Parts: sequence; structure tokens; C-alpha cells
Amino acid sequence: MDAINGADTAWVLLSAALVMLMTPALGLFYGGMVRQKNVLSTLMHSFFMLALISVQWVLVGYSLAFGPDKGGVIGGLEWIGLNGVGIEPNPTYAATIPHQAFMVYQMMFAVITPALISGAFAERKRFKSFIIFSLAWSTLVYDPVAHWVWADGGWLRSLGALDFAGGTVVHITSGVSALVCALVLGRRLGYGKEAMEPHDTTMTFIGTALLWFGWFGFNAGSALGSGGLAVSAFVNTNSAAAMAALAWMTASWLRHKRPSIMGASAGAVAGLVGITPAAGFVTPMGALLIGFFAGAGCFFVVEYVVRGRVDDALDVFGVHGVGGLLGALLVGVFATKAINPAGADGLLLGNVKQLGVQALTVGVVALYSAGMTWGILKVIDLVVGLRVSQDEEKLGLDTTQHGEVAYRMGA
Amino acid sequence: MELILALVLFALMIGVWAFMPSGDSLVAEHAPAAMVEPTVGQLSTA
Repeated sequence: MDAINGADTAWVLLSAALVMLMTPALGLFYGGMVRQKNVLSTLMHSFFMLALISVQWVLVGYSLAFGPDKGGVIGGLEWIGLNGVGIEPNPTYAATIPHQAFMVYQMMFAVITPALISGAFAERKRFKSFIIFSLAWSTLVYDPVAHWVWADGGWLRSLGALDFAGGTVVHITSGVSALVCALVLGRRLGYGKEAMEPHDTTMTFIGTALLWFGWFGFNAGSALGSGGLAVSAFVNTNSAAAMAALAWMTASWLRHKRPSIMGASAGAVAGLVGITPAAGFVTPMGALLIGFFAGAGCFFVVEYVVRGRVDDALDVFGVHGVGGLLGALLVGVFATKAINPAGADGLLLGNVKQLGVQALTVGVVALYSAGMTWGILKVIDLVVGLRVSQDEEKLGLDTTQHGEVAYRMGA
Repeated sequence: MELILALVLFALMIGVWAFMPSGDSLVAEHAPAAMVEPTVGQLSTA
């Protein structure tokens, strides 16, 4: 039996708690951006995932994602109900922490990923449809892709794909799926005709701050130990978030003539997304550059490509899809074995092949996510319907879906 | 090379901030009309 390291175990458990906090933080980030009549619904979309996917993960999700490999495409059912997943380390994934610590850390990634998508269909999706979609999506999209990229025997991992903390598994899957959701559900009533301003920028700011905080667990925790690699990922995470916040704010200042806190917040999140696949593979200078390109690139796509054409209500594709894509490709440029000998050198160090592998990974995962999401949505639409009625949408989802009101002024 | 590129981009952004309009220019857009003092030009025209 491998020896359990106390410091490693403590760090991974703490990181799991940090990543757990990101899901309600995402609810705050999104919640501030919607109109007042939909804030509780938006908070619920994130918080409910914590409950739903935690149960799915323990019952079957972990086994599908990380269980004994079946042909490189999916995990077997040997570990359903956490059968055989105990306190002894599993050296294949993390030799110095209990297997359950690795499992619960990965659970928090599975939880937040479908919650990310919810920003695309905010203010118009039926809650019942949301539950069915999230459960099906986690099982049919997240679990297989996690297996391809991260699991022992996964076919993309075997090809040499680099994804330190989920740029592909978390952000490309959710970002591309969000775009498909926005296209299939259609625009909100009045989109493009009436103002749909964020109802509480302070709430979004608090969400951003908590996301940034939690992201240290997301990225540095992915070292699965408390040593130098975790420190490197921690420094890179902060550097990229900071640079991206500056880049988005600068671009926004140029375009809209004002340095908005909403822009700085969105930029920070774009940088955090961009550095996620690269956090444990690049130098701090590489992290700064990835942060810059993620901040400026996501701003460009949100502002000039998506907005006005597709009602991706809270810019999930523009931030997570594009940020994840940029990060996944740029790790193929800036990666260096000097930071992580288990990784690879990138294009700047003469390894052209790594960039090719990254591009293949991005393409395959994006296509698979888009196709599966479209299929799941179409089936749900046929069976129970996707959107609320027009009257419900006008009244707001808080009242019509949850029977609650967020703010009772003067009550 | 990465260091030089990062320094250049950082300097470029600082340059942009230096030349962008300050908050003063937004006052007229957001403040109630009574709060905005007339400029010399407006007074002379009146």
C-alpha cells in the first residue's frame, strides 16, 4: 500500500472545498447579471447542481469518468456506488492521497461544469427541463470527455493531450454546449429591443471575487499534492487572471469609453478560464501572455461576434468556450518541461506536434459536446418542452418556477 | 521573448489608460441637468 501524505491530503481536501465554493459563487456572478425577476432562478441553477451532480457522481458518474477503462472511451461500472473507492490511495491517479479524496475533488469539477452552461439559457428555461438536461449532459458529455482526457487509458490522454485543470474537460464542453443551448432555445422575449441590464453589479463582483479565490483550489489543487507544482499553478492562476482583467477592461474602455467593473470582472474570469489547462505547464510569463490573449480574445468574441446575433444571455460561450479554446491551444505553445517534467514542451521550444495534439483535442471535444447537447435538447423539447410560456417569461422565473421573490422592498 | 512581449503589452495598456477620457467626461452624461454647471461657451452664447 502506498503511503498517505498528510500535507497532500489536506491540500487536496481544502482544494475540493475551494472548488465547491465556486459553484454558489458562479450563482452570484450570474445572478447579478440577470434582471431582478430572475435572480433566484439563476442562483438555483448553480446551487441545485451541487446537490444533483454530487449524488450522480457518487452513484455512477465517477465510475464512468475514472473507472477501469473500456476501449479508451468510457470508464466501466466497477466503481458504481464508490464500490472499491476507499481510503487507500489509487497510485494511477494520486499516489499520496486517499482514493476518496481524489474522487471528491473531481466531484466538484463535475458539479460546476453543467452549472456554467446555465448562463446561456438564463431567464427562459423551465426548471424541470433544466434538471433533466443537466443530469443527461453530465452523464453523456462530461463523464465521457473527462475519461478521454484525464482517465487512465483515455484516448486523448494517451495521445498526449495536456489539460492541467479542465480547460477542455470543463470549459470547452460547457462553453460550446452553452452556444448550442442558446441557439436551440432562441432569444429571450424582447432581446435586442429592450434593455436587459444587470440588476446587481455588486452581486456579480462578489461572485467574481469568490470565483478567483476558489480557482486557486481548481488549478493549484490539480497538482494533487502540496509541493512546488501546486505553487507554480497558484502563481500562474493569479497572474493570468490579473492580466486578463486588465486586458478586458482596456478593450472595454476603448470601445465603450468607460472602465467598467463588469468588464474587469468578466476579464478576470476569462483569464482564469484561459490559464486552467496551462496552470501546471507554463512559466509565469507564459501565464501573463495567456491571460492577455484570453482577456482580449474573449472580449472581442463577446462584443463583435456573439452579441446581437445569439442570445447567450451571460456570455458563457464567449468567456468559457473561447477562453477554454485559447488556453487549450496556447498550452501547446508555451508549455515547458522545466515547470512540469510530466508534461511536454510546446511550440516555442520546438515541439510542433504538441500544438497539433491540442488542436485535435479541442476540435473533437467541441464537436462531440455540440452534437450531444443538440440531441439531448431536442429529445427534452419533444418530451417535456424546453422554454417557459411567454406569460411565465414576462412575469419572471422566480415567481413562476420557484414561487419566491428575491427582494421585498419595504416589506 | 515571453518577458519582452509581456512588458510591451503591459506598457501598451498603460498607454491606453493614460489617453482615455477620465471620469469627468461622464458627468454630463449621467448627472441631472441642474447639477451640470454651464461652460463659459454656453454662458456667452446665452
